[in-house]
Amino acid sequence: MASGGPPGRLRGELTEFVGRRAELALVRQALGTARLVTLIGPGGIGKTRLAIEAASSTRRAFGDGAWLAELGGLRDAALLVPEVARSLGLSDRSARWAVAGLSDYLAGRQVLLVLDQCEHLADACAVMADALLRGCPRLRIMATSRHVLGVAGEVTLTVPPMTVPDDCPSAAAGELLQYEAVRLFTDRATAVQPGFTLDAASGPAVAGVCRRLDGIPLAIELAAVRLRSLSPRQILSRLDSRFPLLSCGGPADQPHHRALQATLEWSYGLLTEAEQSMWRRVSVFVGSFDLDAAEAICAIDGVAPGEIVDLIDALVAKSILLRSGSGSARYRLLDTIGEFGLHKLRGLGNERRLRLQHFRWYAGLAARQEAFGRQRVPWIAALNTDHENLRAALEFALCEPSEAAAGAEMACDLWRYWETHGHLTEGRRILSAALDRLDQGATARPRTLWVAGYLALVQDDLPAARTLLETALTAARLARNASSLAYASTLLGLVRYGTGAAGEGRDIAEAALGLHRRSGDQIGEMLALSQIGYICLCSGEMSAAADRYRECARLAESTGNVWYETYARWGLGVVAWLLDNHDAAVVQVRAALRAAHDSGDQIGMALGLDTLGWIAASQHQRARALTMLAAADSGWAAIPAVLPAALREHHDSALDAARHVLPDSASRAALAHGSAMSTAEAIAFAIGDATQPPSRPDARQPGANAGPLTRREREVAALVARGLSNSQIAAELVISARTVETHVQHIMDKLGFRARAQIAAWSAGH
Amino acid sequence: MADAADRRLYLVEHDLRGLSSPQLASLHRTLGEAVRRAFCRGSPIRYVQRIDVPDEHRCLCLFEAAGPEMVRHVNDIAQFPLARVVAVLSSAPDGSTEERGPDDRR
Repeated sequence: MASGGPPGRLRGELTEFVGRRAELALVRQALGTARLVTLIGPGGIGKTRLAIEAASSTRRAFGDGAWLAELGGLRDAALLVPEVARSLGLSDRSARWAVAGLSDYLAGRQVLLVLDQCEHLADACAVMADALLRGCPRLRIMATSRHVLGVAGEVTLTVPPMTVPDDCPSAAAGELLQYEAVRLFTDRATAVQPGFTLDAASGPAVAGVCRRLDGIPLAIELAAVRLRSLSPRQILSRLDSRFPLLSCGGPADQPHHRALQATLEWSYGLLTEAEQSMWRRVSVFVGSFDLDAAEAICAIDGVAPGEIVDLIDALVAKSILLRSGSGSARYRLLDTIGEFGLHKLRGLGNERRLRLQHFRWYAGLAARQEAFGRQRVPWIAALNTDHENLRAALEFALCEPSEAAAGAEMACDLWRYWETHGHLTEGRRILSAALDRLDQGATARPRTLWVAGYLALVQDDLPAARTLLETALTAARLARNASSLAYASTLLGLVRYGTGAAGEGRDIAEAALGLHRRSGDQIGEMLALSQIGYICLCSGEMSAAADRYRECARLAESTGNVWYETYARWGLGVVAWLLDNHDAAVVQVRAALRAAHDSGDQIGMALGLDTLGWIAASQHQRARALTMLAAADSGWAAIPAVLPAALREHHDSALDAARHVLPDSASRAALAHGSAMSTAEAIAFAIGDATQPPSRPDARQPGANAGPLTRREREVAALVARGLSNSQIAAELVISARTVETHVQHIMDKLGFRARAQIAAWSAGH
Repeated sequence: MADAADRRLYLVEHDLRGLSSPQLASLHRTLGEAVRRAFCRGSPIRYVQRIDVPDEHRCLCLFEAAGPEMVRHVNDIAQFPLARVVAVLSSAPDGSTEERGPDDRR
């Protein structure tokens, strides 16, 4: 499916881009000839801003857009490619070499990829860039780094300081405004003091400030916000008196670095003690954070949560913190400012305490465990927004022996997030690190093992999954951990099925179902039911599959579990389809599609679209089938993921059947139609209504539509209405009581009923 | 390089399922480049040998390094975050065992 809106994603900036015409022209020129352009320079020199501006102004030249990957918050070089893929909106679902997956995606696309802040991951960025550029002929990369990456063909552009005027007290304001640094100061000054103008009185002092700050944009911005309380002359005077002291001791060959550090020290020194403390404290965040998190984490040592908002406000006003986010406010520190804050924090010794608070806050967010219900979408979105903080919290916990077990529990709590948001490799790596740190007898070990096994299973890494799950079983038995024993068994059943032992797999999963039921774990019960249903479905045991899926659907509905409702409904739909009950199949799969849409489950949506394509082909709706199959293909590719191998033949058969009959031109048109659809369009098309989303059976007017019932089901319904029992109906229709029971259940499923009396009432009206 | 006596052999198995021929070539070039960069930064590591198992879509990569962390590091750089690093011994056909790489047996 094509994504909506213009292709690409670049960070929106709140302030005007000033100057840099010459540099912009150079970057554009370099991008016209070189495939890897690296902007190098020290922190605060404006590399990121220049890169984003250059990417924005050239994105039209890239048919598939310009995309920004912000790498400042990533510390683990091994996760570079998954992080870049995340920036492109791709999931990481495969155990395949991640570079190959990204390369496949980018191979046919004309993309400008902006890798921001590569310096701490320079080697990983270099080898990735080299591999991608070789495999993707239309790809161009623009990197920002404090150092050269050292890749063949790389063109480096050193970002210079902004131009500053010479010391000339008589220079007119108009003359001074020809210099970038003065224009930047004036622009930012106008923002903090709307009446500010550069004139004969202020001009020389502003020029002096810009010279004193070496034309470094970040330093100039920090100085300009001081106009709230100081005149330009006072700012210059304080810089003159403080700089010799502040700028000594830095590397002699890095004057710009020293000037920036001195400006940061100066800005820090002008804050109140409480503001200084707040700057240090918010430095533990990675990426952005919200007020709730700041209140929970930073309100220590006598600072009340209610005071936090004022302190944040003060830091925003002084450009230490930037506000981001158009809805609920979020805040972030520029990296250079954050590094400075961390440096100060380390010097004062309460870093560990703050990091512990930070970990506990995000562990709490993970522990909410709303992966299955109606709150799933906002919960997953909140986790995704705070992905960098989650990662930092986990890194902290796993490096602290006393917190390793809690870190492992947090990583386990995120199991559905890792899976559904496509962070499988990252999840597995973190769980692996957790296992390295847990004692053999640690309470958290069995769960950590089965969650790691689950993620390996989802990545189709069956050997690793089997090893982890078998180890989990042993650990769970030793620890008498009934829950982990049940989950590990359930998943091991699926691994056994995946390795060709379907019967054994089902037996193991059935036994696990009993364990879940005994421990009263309904999530585990639904997991086992859906997996047994799937094994039965793929093994041709339709009745058993339907039974398990039906049990799962009932439990999912009664507990508001949208996730399992999707797969239970899908399973019931496929069973109905395989039994040639196409109308019932459509009803169920549409319900599954709606549930998947409600929960933002991309896999469920692609699966639903695919399945409706199979059904449409069976109903001889060939163009419709091709359109849905193409939309499904795009859906799988956008994740990226593939239809499970066991289901592939249904897709291929439907495709062949439709194309065999339709003229080539009609086939091509139908496929192109599906490929070009957005997700919303594809779903609207699949449910047969371009404007209204489908109603789930439980949301419909019960029994409003008799269409889905087969002739035999209508007969059964009529007999139910006469008050006959299943045995009496069986005798009347000369079928088994079990078959009657199945028919009755189908009728209730299709009509959204929960009691036989409803069938009787419905039948009377039809 | 560190003293030869400090170096050991390590084996890493890579899953090659779903990789095209150019991607396989890219994978090995990437591993080689990651080792070269680590070596240039002063890490005593060498990419000794690669054994392909085409029927099983996997390969075994042999590294010589001062410790498993170094081997893990280059695999991280080459984007194999889940690589399992195993210390191995190299045996000559006559049954003698060497812990060092093939070059060191000369």
